[in-house]
Amino acid sequence: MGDRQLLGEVEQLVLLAILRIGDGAYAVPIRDQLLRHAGVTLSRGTIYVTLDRLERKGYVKSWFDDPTPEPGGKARRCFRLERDGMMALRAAQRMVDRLRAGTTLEDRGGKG
Amino acid sequence: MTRLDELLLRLVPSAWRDDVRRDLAEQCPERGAGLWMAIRVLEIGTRLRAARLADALHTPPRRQWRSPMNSFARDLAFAVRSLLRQPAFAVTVIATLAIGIGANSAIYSMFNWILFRPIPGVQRPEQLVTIRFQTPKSSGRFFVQYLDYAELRDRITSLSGLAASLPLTLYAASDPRDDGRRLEGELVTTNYFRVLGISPALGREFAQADERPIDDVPPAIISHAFWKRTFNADPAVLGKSLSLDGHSFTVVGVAPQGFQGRSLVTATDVWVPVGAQVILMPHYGRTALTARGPSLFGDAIGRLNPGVDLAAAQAEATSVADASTEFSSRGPGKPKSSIRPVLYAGLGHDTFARDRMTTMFKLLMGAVGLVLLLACANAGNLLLARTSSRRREIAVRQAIGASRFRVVRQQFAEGLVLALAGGAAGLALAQLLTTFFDGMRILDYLPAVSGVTVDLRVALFTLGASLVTAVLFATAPAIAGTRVDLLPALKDGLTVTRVGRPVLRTGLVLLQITLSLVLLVGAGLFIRTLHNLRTVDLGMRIDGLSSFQLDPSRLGHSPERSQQILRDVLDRMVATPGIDSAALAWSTPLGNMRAEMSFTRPEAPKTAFDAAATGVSPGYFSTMGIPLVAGRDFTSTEFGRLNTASGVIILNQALARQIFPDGGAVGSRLKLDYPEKMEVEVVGVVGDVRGRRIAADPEPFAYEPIGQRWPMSWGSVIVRSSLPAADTAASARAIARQVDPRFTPPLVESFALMLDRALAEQRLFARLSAAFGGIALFLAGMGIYAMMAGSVAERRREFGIRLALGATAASMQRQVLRRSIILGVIGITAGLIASVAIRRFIEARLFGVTAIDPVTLASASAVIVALCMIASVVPALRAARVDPVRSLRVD
Repeated sequence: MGDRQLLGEVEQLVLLAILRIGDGAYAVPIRDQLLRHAGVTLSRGTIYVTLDRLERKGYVKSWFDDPTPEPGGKARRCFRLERDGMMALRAAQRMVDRLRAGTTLEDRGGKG
Repeated sequence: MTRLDELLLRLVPSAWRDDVRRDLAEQCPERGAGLWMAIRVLEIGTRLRAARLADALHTPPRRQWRSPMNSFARDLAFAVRSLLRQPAFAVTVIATLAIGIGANSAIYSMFNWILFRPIPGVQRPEQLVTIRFQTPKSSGRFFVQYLDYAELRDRITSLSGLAASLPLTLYAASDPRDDGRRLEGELVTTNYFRVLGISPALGREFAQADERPIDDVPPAIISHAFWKRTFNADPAVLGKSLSLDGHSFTVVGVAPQGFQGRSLVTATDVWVPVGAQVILMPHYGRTALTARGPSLFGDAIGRLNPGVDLAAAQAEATSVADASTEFSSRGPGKPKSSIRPVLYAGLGHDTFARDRMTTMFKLLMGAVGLVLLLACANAGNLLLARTSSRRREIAVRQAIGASRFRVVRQQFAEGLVLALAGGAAGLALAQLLTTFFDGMRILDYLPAVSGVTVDLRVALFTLGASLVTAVLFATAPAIAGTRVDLLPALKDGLTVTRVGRPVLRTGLVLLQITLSLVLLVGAGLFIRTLHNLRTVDLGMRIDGLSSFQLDPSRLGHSPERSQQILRDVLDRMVATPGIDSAALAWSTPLGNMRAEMSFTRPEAPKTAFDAAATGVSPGYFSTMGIPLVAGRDFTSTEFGRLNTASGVIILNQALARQIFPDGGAVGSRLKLDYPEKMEVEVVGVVGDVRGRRIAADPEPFAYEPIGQRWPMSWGSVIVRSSLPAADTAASARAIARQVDPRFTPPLVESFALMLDRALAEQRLFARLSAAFGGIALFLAGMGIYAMMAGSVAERRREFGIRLALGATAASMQRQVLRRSIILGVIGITAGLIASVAIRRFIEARLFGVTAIDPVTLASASAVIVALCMIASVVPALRAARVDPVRSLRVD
């Protein structure tokens, strides 16, 4: 892991959303996925900032799909998870797993 | 999307713009769309920008090394570090390159200074033209009268202004009888500064009225340098009095800093208006500016109107002169001469001087270019040697995955670092070397060079030279050095068997030997030429001989009175103790005055004989040490006897042989056809004397008694004395002052000095080529040593085996020396061929020696053989001292 930056919570969420969608992920469906399956509402700005950063880190890669069939339609930029992104995601999951091992997150019936 | 949205969209990084626009358009609610959209575009745009900025600030620097440029920067940093680990190697290479680059920059600087740079301070120099006055037949230049200048100035419409100036040497002193400082002055038309685009830093320009004869105190404008030097940059200098040639002038202005007049080589100290002519040059009369009379200006400076080209201006100037009724005539009604204005682009040297200097420049740059090539070969060889000693490192780097390109680039980076460091050091060296040019003369009739500095052009030139050098010497070793067979290199990287590319390294050493031989031969030839010229029989004895010029007419004396004053000075000079003899002459052999005569024999009036000529006093020949071959010298009764009907003449042998091939010159009569028509009797024949162009054969020469055709109003006093030069000069000054207190102190110059000046060009070539030869020897010696030492180190094992098998130490030494001498002989052969091939470039500059002079070629070859031996002595000793046991045990 070394000096590689830790993956932030939002970054993990976005990466997982892209993983779920597979090819053809872009800002709008990513936001939908997060809302539908994680119950999280992220602002559009957050989605774009995160995608922008993930791409700069080399965790996701964008490509242009076929132009939408409308006059003057431009190609849409879609995102795909890269190997580095997948590894970072796994590392983050493993880190959480290792830390959680031997602990329990169930309510022990204490106060509250 | 509204226009506001589009505007806000500019905030979004361009990579995202299309996506954001489309995504938002997809999701946009129907009600309140405008504001909704604007807010979201603003939010997304600012957040993306902020995040990118924050990430850029927090990203660790090593992530930036990704672009090729950055990784090359890393190569450079690595190169610097690895060179610092081997400072001796780095210093050697940098010094080698610095010598080559420094020598090149220094020579370029000198010629830039005197030939190429724009005239300092002059505005829009590309618009300026120089007008010279020439006839269709002669290549010579003529002076024209003020009225000729004024006519051109007033009629030509393609020029926005036409100015003229006359250089004058003036004496600044409160009392003219002081030793006084010689100042460079210019007598200028009042529009001079306007035409050059100069406004005074202080005070005013000359006024229109200064173009008329000035009887009261005339104005003067001083240069910025003179202002600082003499007036300590005092702003209150305006209105102060300045004494020039004993006349008072008022300082009315100070020229801007950097402006030194219209010349590259002479820095003018003071400008005076043309109206001051009546005071400074009274012998030109009171009407020189208002009527036809003596010629005043040798050229004029014009500024082309925008959009007018030189050819159009030339056509107009010619037509103005053609249409004029009296252009360059002697007076109203007198016939016009064939003198016409000829336009040249720019200011600066006349074409003759420029051509001569350009030829010198090319030749010297060629020679110093060879020095640079030699330095590059040397540096290349050092780098190649280093590359092969680093074979193991390179093999390791390639083995762990570095591409060959990567390794070559690393080597190239080292070359670049070394070349740039060498360039910087070379620039510093050039600045140092240029100080040696101070006081040197490039051409005999130009003032000595002073103040040469390395300027921007030179810096650019040096940068170019460094980069070319980097390409030349870094590429070959880098490419050759990476062709490594990995396995053996990794296996026995320590002892290193014969390393690859010996051909390249030997070739570079051979190139060095060849180049140094060529440079040595050149040095030898130029040194011998200078020596031959110094020792050639001049036809006169110059030791103890000196002369000075006096011009009584400039003080306003009539020609008759002037001649009498000169005679008076001569008599007093002869009577001075310690003066062996003295004589008068209109011109001296090493001076720059020249007159011509044309003769015919009465019995063959069709054949004219042209000769250079001068007027002399009796005793001239004995004073000069010119032998009287036949007949007699002039007598004191002939001296000053005006006789335009029939006169006497003395010929030199060259002229006597031409006119009287069968002898019998003395006593014969000749007809003088030019400049006057009269009959002369040959009374004597004297020996030939070499003139200012020492290398040229003595020309036909005729001597007449002073005053025979007209009174001599100025001339040179020639003195032979065993006194120290300073004493002779003191006597000359004292006598001049006694005769007329207004005389400015005469400049007494020895003939030895004049000879030195006449040989300026040859001396420059001898000195520089000797320096180049010396540098070449040094560099080639280093190169040979490095190669021999390297090869001995590489063959240590082989030597060890040989010694173990019974070879003697002496045979080892012989082997090393033999190899070095064989190299030398091959290099010498190539060098001799090259010397013969390029001989036509230098042949014209040699005197008393041919370009394939056997003595010079043999000596140069001997020096190279000696160099080869000296450079390989230490490696040879090392080869003999190899310890067989140790060298075999290494593996």
